[in-house]
Amino acid sequence: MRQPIRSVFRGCRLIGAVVMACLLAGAAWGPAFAADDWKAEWESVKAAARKEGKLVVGIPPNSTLRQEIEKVMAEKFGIQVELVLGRGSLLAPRIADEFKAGVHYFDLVILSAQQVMQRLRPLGAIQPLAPLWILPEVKDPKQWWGGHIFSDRGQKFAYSPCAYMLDNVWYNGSVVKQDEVQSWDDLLKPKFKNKIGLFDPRIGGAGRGIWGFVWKAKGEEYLTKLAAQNLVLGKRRPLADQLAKGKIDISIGPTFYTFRKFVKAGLPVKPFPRLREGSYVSVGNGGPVIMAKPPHPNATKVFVNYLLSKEGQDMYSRAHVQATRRLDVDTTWMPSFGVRPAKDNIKVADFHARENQSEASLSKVRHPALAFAKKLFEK
Amino acid sequence: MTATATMGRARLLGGRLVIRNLWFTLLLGLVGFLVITPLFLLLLNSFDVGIPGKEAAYGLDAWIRGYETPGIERAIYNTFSLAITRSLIATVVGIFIAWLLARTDIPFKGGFEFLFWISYFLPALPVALGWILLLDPKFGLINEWLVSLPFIDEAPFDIYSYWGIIWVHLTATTIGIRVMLLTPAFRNLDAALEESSRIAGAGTMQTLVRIIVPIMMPPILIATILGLIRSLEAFEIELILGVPIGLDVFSTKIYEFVVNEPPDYSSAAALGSFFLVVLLILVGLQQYYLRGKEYTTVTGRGFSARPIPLGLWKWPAFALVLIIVLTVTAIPTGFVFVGTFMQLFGYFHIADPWTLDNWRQVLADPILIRSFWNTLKLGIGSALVGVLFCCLIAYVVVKTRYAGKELLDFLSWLPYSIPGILLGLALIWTFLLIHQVVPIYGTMLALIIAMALSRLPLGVQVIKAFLLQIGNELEESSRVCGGSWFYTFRRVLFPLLSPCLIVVGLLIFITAARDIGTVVLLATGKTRTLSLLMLDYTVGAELERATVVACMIVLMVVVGAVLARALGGQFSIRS
Repeated sequence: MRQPIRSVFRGCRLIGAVVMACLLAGAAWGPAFAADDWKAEWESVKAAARKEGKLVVGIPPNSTLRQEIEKVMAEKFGIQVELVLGRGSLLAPRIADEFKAGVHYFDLVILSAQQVMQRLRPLGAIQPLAPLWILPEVKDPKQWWGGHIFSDRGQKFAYSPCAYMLDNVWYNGSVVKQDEVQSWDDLLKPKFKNKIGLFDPRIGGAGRGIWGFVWKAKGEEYLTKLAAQNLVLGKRRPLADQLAKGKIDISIGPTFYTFRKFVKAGLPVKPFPRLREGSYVSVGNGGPVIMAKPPHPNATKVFVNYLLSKEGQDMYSRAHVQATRRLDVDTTWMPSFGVRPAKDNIKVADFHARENQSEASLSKVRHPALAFAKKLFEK
Repeated sequence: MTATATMGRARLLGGRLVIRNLWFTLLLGLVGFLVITPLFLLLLNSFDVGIPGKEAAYGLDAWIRGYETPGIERAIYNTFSLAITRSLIATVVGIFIAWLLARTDIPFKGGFEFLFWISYFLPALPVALGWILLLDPKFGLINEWLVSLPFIDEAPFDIYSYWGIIWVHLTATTIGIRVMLLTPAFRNLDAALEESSRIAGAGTMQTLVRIIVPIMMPPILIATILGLIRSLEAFEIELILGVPIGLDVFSTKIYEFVVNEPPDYSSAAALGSFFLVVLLILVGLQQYYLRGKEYTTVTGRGFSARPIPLGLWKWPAFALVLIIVLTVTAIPTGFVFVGTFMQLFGYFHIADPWTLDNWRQVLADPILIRSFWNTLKLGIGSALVGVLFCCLIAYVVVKTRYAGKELLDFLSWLPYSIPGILLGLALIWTFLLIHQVVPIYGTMLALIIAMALSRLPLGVQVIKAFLLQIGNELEESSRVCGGSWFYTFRRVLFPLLSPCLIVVGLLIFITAARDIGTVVLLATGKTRTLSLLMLDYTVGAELERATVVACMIVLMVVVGAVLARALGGQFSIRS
């Protein structure tokens, strides 16, 4: 009885050894085949993109970013990029109207989740991003702090390559001392009545980000009291001017991006160090969102892979001063520009707790916070 | 034989008339399509209550949202109050200056008139920035200087105020357009009327008020309506100077709906319809007033244009006009030019205020040359297309008996009822609608049509006023001598019209060069102009670079105006 069992075991061992050998051989040769696969695909896509020769991309208004992208794409890949500058809130409705009319002008656009969810996804005007990834350094989630993070619930369309915190409460050092404000509650002091400027949250951008954070962290009662300080509502540059000229003592919303020239000029504008309640985590202007029928599909793939590569993210972070989540990109220089990269400062769990731009957070935080802002400021 | 020839000739004339009417109907159809379609789409969209990105559903929600916006009543009051106040001031000042330039022996009159053209052509943003540099209550140079005087304790001027807004508007465009439109009209007035008044014992001012102004009512009315509508729609200056102090106007409310996230185009369109109503009322009143009146001044009769001697008042009047013209041109642009060399615009007291970096960075930006060529293409293209259409429309309205001419005249006013940014939006929808048949969406031609359309009312009214001065006997003489309609137009009317056409072309060219509102939504990466580059810098927190581009636009405007002047451009037959 034992003999047949032994032979069965022996047979199993043999099969196991063969399988093992195959696996080991596969492990040894597999990457080589895979490497050849992506390299061959990358080269053929680049060649096809060069033939297409053109690409139309919507980006946020930033002249440095515009110049860098045009230069890199022409010199490195032989692609002429037509860049359409504009805020997402202007570009997304236009792209939606084009799609409805059967016009496919844009290949991709840098957009936040809000625009993607509200304007483009319901129309089917966009396609998932991940299938366009070719470079292993882009595909590999280990290269990214927190892995691959999408802002849409389906984890398909609105990729978030950036994550960072901003200094967005600034003061005029000639009238306010740094230690006078350590918490959001300190802004309710009577001496700051009529002296606080707020980047109007109804406009969007950083103003809405910080407003959403305070709404969540401090509640509507607090915001009602803050509004009772007679906030001066405005846009970034006018608020920065008013702070530098001493018309207001504190500004909420505008960041180093707006204040850098004022700081360089030696004017007494400074950011408060982190307030006790902390701050929200921004994903900036969002990531590349791909049109459903891009007129230049290969050039689109090249751009997406370049933009999300180490080199592309380094360029984007430096030109647009929004900190990447890529772990292999140096972002240690960014705090001197008022940007604290999430990967260098917080844990991934904190990011998920404190971001307010994902689809889930939009409905839970930003939308009700915006509705409350309208209620407060449109009396 | 004679009867047959007569019949043949009648048939030929009848055939020509039918062909002419066909052309005019084609023109009416084209203008109607280009004017009505965007307006219709805008109105249709104002009833769209569907969720963005999903199928349209219709209702009144956007209208309710728009007209129930908190502060809308106040904004309407502010709009009318600001527009009427500055229109009144500008009309009085404009009539006085135009009269001085056209009817008196004031020195340097040609130069003054040209400088008023320039003042009208300057982009609003740099003019406002220039005045902020001077009249900011805390850091304005004039205020600082005044406060340094021993008897003045606090800054007397505040540019961020009701009167600050009026002041900047008066200097930016409101006085300029009146002088521009009224001076030629005054020039065409027969001096015999003034002489008769004086013989009857009236003084110079009494003649101006009791005789000249009533006779000049038609052009005054047109200049006032054109100015008033533009005043009602103006928003850039109000946005910079009014919003920080909580002074909203109707157009800043529309702007808020467009730029806030998410944009609410339906409510913006609903609010925009307000201008349509105002325009309809004003144009109706104007047409009622002008109905059945005769304005011909170029006839076979003699014409006296002897200037009135100002005597002792000659040099004081010269000094007064010089001060006004410098205030509306040299001062704001000069200070904006100074501002381009500043590290931080408006900050004279920082450690190292001056730099050449702004110019270096803008000149090194590869998009600059592209934007410059695009601006030239857009300016020249829209000027050519605009002049052609304005000229044809004005001709049909004034010189023919075509049955649809009143409708054509009315249609030509309509683009003024749509504020710039909404016109851009409506034209996007129009071009997308026809894209499968006429694929011009995203091209320079789309921008050219948009700009030509936006200036249609001004162009048509200016050419109409010009054509009204030309008696029909000139054309009739040509016809009697056997000249065809085209021959008559080319050899008789065109030479007379060309100075006016040059000016209308210049007006459209300059509007295209400085426009932001209409083209911002329509432009693509390859059709972006200098004004959009200026906007990109402004939005990207690079105000100093934006002022450099603004100065380049100003330079372009001045060169354009000098060229037009050199080519003989003027608004009237008599210079």
